[in-house]
Amino acid sequence: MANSMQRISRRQFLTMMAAGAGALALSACGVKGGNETGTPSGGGAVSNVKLLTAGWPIDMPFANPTPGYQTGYNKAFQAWLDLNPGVSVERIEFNVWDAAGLRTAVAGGTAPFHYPIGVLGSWNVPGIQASNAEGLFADITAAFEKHKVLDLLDPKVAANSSRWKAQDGKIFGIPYEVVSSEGFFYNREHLAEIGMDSLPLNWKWTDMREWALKLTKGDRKGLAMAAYALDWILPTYGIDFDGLLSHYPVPGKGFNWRWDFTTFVDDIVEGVELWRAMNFEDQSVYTDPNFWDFSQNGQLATAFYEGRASMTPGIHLFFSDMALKMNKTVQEADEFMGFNRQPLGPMGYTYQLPFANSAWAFNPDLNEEELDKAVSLFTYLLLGDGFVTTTQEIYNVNKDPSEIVRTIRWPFANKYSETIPGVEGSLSEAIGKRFSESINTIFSQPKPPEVGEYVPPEVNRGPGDTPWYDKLTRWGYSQDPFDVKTDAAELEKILNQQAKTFPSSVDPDAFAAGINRYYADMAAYLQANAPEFYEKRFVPFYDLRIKPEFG
Amino acid sequence: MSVGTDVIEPKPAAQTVEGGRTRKRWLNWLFVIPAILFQFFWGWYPMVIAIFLSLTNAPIRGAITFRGIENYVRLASDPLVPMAFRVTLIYGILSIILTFIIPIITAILLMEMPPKTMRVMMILWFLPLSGIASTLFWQYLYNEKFGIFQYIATAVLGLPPQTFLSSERFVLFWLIVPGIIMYGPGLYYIAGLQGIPKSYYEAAEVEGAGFWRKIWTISLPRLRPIISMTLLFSIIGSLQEFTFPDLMTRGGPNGASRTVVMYMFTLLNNGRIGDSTALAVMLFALIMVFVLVFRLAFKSDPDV
Repeated sequence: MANSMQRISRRQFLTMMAAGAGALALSACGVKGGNETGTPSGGGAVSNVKLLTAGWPIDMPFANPTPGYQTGYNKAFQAWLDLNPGVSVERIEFNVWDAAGLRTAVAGGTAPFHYPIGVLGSWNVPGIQASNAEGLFADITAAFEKHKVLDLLDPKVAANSSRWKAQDGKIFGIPYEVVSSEGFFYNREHLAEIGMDSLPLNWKWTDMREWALKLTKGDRKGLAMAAYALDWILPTYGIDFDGLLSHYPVPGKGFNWRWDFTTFVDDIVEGVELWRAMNFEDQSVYTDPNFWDFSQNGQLATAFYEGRASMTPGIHLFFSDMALKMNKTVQEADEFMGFNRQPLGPMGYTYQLPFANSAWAFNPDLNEEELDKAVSLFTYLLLGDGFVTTTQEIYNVNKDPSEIVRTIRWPFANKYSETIPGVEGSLSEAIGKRFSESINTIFSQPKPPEVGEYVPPEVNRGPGDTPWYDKLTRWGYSQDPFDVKTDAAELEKILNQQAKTFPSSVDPDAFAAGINRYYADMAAYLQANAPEFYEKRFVPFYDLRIKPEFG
Repeated sequence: MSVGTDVIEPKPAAQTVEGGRTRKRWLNWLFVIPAILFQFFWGWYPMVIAIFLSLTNAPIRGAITFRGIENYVRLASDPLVPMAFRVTLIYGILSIILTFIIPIITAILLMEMPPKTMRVMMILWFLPLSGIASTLFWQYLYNEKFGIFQYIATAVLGLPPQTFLSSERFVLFWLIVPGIIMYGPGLYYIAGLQGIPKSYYEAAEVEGAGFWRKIWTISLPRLRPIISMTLLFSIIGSLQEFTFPDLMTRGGPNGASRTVVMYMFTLLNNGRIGDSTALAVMLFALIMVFVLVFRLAFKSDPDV
């Protein structure tokens, strides 16, 4: 009996598959992607403004909010939407902390409406100013003034504007968090074992070596440290990729900077020997050449939580997160651990800023109306009335102000760091008296001048810091024979050879004027705060490298 | 109904053949066009744009300025570029020597095992593993303080503490070791070996050929097309190595494991997009030279 089923040939099957795949591909092309920046239709009245967000700090309202932060956030968000009819916010999947991805998105016009400035600006003033000069951040001056953002900011945040304001006064970002420079969290109980109550503000790296050794006991190491320890130690001698004594300006020779790692090479040797002694002789450090993560979630912090290290690097913002990780309240965490800035160099010099503003930029492809709404939303929710609403809701759950600082990292960039309307009690006491005292002390230290605040931004990026980190990895961990002085000379040669091939986009006269102001202010700062360093290092270097060209 | 009264006039033979050819051509294009489009948008177009960008200032935003060979001149005088090429070539050569030959030998030996044993060994060897997860796992194995390799070296073998990934001299070797174990073209070789008629080996045995003689005169020549293909891919792949050394060492210590693609990525992150694309073009040219030399020197047809 013949088979009554009609058989499909191989050709027919493949044709059907191709047709199906083609239809699927066409239908996918027809779906609107989430990466469009919405533009309102019509000219004048607000309508159809769509802002795309990649999440924190401006995320979508919570679907099933829990009492406290989530209900407060939702309430504030809805209040803003009610004040701004026709505006919608949409979530897109995007990692704003990925520099390469963010750069691509900004270039292609698909970036979310806000992203951290430091990611594209290498977290330093010259890089941030250069990125702004390249047009990577929207000019939000008009919206900033319209929404009176300055009035909402903490005075010290408002005064420290080089990371969100250009030298010509145009504004390209809004500060959201106040961040300490990298420092160390320390275990108070361990410190008490060696007769100490806390780490002193003006400690030196020689003190760090001594105390780390004393704290090392059994499996416990005195210090957990990331792979770039020397990148913290050598700058206290003024030696860094952009160090005060290793990086100097040259006029009218294309790229305006050169490097010098040989004048004070003995300091480099001393710093390297200090670190290697800690790691290899004292064996007081929990470290590895592949330990790059010093966040509250990394191996170093974990060693600290578990009592395997008495000190661990971090920034002060980690405090409440670390408390959560250790299942402690912030007051309990305050009893358990302290925070201190990095040690100073042997002559009392610190390269660190007392604090920096973590600012957020806005997509330069947004039109005027979209920018206005974006700035309005950001300001309302994170600095202004929306912030107050959110924090009041957090407080109202248990009438405990410490829940606020446990949820939102403290201190704030706005004027509510100490008190919030409708919240009883002091927030600095709520986070922990000892912690807030140490933070206030650190934040009130004098700020050294930053060269990016004085000279026009250089959009030709110049040599990168790769050769510098190459040497740090060798000096820090290599057990093959090496000579620091030979390496330093080689490093200088490589960077200067690279520098010669770059042009400069900066006006020579403006550069010279800025450089003279910078070194004058730096001299005044050092005379007041690190006189020994000023006499023995800064003045000789200035006379050798700066004065002949700019004097 | 009467059978046989409805007669269907057949089409003329020439018309049938012509119609079949037209349909075949149309279908051929239907299947080929998606691949062409994919290759165009993801391969050829980016390549042409990269060459163009390498001759400009390649700004992220704003007007593009033509700069001629300025980026190439800059790279030519950058000491880190020849260093990266040197590392890449050494890595490529070591990688091919160590990770290419061993899978061939392993595949040949696997074929000699009983079928059940062979199947189990194949499953274990070709188990799909996440590349990133494996890399992170190897990082812990190499850890100088608590890694198992250090334990084996010091506690078991009585050697002094080893430097593994922090040794400038041996870091490339240690980076290649995981590839020896994880590399998987052996599957192709086994498939190739299974396609060789058994009569060839029987005839050789009759002639008195031993185990190694059969491998040299039968297995390896018959595997030549597959070996040619995988060797070519190995050369191209190893010259573009990035993920593994980047995750394991970030190019250290002292740049001893920084490949060309890693330096390209560094330049990109430093905002030097023009330089990065120029370096990519240089690498492309080098790879093309290797491919051309290989194609001229290595004939994959076993009967030639």
